[in-house]
Amino acid sequence: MATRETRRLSLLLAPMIIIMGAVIGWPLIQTFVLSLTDSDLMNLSKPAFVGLSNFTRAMRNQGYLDSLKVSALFALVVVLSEMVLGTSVALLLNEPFKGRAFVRGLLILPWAVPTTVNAMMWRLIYNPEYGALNSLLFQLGIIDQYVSWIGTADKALYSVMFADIWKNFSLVSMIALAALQTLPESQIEAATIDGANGWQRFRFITLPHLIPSLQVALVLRIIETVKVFDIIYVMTRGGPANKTRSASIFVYQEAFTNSRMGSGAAYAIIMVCVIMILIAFYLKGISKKES
Amino acid sequence: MVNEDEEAGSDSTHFYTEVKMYEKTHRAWYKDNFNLDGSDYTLDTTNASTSNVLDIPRRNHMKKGVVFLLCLVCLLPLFSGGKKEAVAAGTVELRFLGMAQASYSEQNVNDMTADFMRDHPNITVYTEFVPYEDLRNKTLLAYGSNNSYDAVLVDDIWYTEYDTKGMLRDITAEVPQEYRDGVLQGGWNFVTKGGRVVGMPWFLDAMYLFYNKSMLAKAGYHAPPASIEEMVDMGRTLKARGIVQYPFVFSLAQAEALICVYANFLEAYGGSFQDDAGNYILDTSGVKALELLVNLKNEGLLNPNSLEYLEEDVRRVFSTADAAFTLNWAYMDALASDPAESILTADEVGIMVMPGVRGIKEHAAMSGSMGLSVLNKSKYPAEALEYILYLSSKPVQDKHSDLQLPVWTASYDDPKIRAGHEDLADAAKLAFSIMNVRPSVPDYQEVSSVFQEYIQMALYGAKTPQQALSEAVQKVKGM
Repeated sequence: MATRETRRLSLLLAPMIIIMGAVIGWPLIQTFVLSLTDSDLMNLSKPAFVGLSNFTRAMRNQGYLDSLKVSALFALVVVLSEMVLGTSVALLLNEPFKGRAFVRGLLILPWAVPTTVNAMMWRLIYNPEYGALNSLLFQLGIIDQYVSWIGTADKALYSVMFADIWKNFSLVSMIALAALQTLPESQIEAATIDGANGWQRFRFITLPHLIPSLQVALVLRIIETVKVFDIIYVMTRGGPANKTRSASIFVYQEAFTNSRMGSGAAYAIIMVCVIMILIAFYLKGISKKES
Repeated sequence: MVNEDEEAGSDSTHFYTEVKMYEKTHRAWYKDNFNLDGSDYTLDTTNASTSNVLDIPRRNHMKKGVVFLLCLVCLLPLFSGGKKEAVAAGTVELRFLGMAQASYSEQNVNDMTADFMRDHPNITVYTEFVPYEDLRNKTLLAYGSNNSYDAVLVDDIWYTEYDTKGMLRDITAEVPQEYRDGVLQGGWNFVTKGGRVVGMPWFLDAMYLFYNKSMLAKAGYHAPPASIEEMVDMGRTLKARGIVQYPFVFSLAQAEALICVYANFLEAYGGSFQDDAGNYILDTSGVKALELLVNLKNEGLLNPNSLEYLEEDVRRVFSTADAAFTLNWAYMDALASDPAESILTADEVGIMVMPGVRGIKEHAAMSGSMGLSVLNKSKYPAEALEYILYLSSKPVQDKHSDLQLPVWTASYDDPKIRAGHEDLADAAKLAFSIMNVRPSVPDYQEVSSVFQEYIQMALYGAKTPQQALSEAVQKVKGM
């Protein structure tokens, strides 16, 4: 009986496995094979086998290592900010107030905006001549002259991060809000009767309840931010002076600008490995949540 | 009389009974009707159970699903082949990749293409446009993945790379004599590789110095600068008198535009990227040019936002009278005094070839020309050539000369073409006779990326100009 059930399930899963294998598995295998060759964009059909030399060179390439640092810093700052901001907003939106449903509806807007549109929008907001941000800060007296936000080496990366946080914190908010709505009101009431203050209720009841959901959001957002490409490509193209060049931008430049598909594939495979490790954490987080 | 609760209870009991019946029987139904032990699943219609009413909608759903899938499978070829079948038999389809830019604009090229297709009803041309920064990569990727365009727009710095990779069709024998005689010699220089003509010059361009005449007049200058030194002095005076906060604005974002601007100053100082043997020598010949740019920034003469600006950005800054000097391509000439685009009038905008450094050069210009080429993987090379010859023909170029000067020598003496562009036409004549080119090497794009990064480091003050260029040259040598 169990064998029949297994067969039936296997049969039902087969189309999905075949499609996933075709659109993800096969290209991944091809990319790995490519990473072992000296293939370039014009010579995809007759490349020479070079073993693991692309990988060893990648580990010595200062530009690539710098770009990994940019990706790591981007992921760290963006994800932490989104977690704090997203959770705070979720807590606010869980409280009853007039127009709550409308505000909850608004929350989805930034997340629904396509990344490239968001990037273009923030380019305009950051414009050093007529950007809204400069205008606002200048009128508030916070800055005494307009600032080049994405054209200055020490501000560019953080400016791009801010644009990304604005777009994606609402995803964390929505996940946290969904979790908050499953929190039994009786627990909060009991704690209140026992004399717990607001912080203690959050620290010992709400937060532990939120953690499994936030873990999932955390890993999902880390995966997304580690492979960040589009928002940087549109806003700065990796400049100024490569200060915003993420690992994905580096891979793109190596493969398509420098036409070195072999080493570009090696850099990409290293990134895939990093992301696979993060996915393992994600799956672990999910299983923890289910248990 | 049955009350509502009882009725509801009766309904739910009935439903529960049906569900249990279904659970009990559906396994038996599968067992009876499917050959589960065989290699595949076959329906045994003779034993099909019809006793349970719940099986009927289920089977209906299955049937609907199968019918839907079959319809989908049947429709798929229609979607994939729709475009091809829409084209009449005997029609040649060409794909052209151009650049989204101000001139020739997408509208210009589409108008030219529509005229071409009207004259050639057997040819259909599909045009695509991408920003300059993506043009080369898209061309290479399409070519490498065997989905090549038939004709493409090529920057002069890419000709060597494309030719080395065997991408460009040799059209030496097919270029009509009238083109050979009529097109400016400067155009043939960059589309000719090893004696073979591999493209048609489409527009010749250089970065020109645009200056605000009224600002200069307010500061007491009634003639444009005759040297770099004079230009910098003018900038200092304009700033000191409060006429403009930042007299200079240049496109110095991390992009090819930065190299174009730097190359003009390099040329003004008599320097070059490479020596005669092809070795990069910017660490010796290019330091003064970079020092000048860094000093302009440190003195507060250069708009600090320049480091994130591309050509369109500097055009807007100049057009709002927030700069006295800028470098830009010819397209800006018309737009800088267009009321829809600028607050300046034609009398306020001056254009000239950038002056050189006193005692070294009178003028400096760097080529930014582009050509049209037929790619070797084109299935219809004859038609593609016909198309690019049409786009670069004198009547077509004269017709669209409001933003871009033609490549035809005769056009520069045509009063109709010159009308309104006299200064530009004169500057162009001079620029085309003296302009130099950026390195013509197969790996130019990678070399350029390295120089962009290090020149920006110097402009930010992270490295001295000497350090930045020395390290850049070392990095390029190690590639």
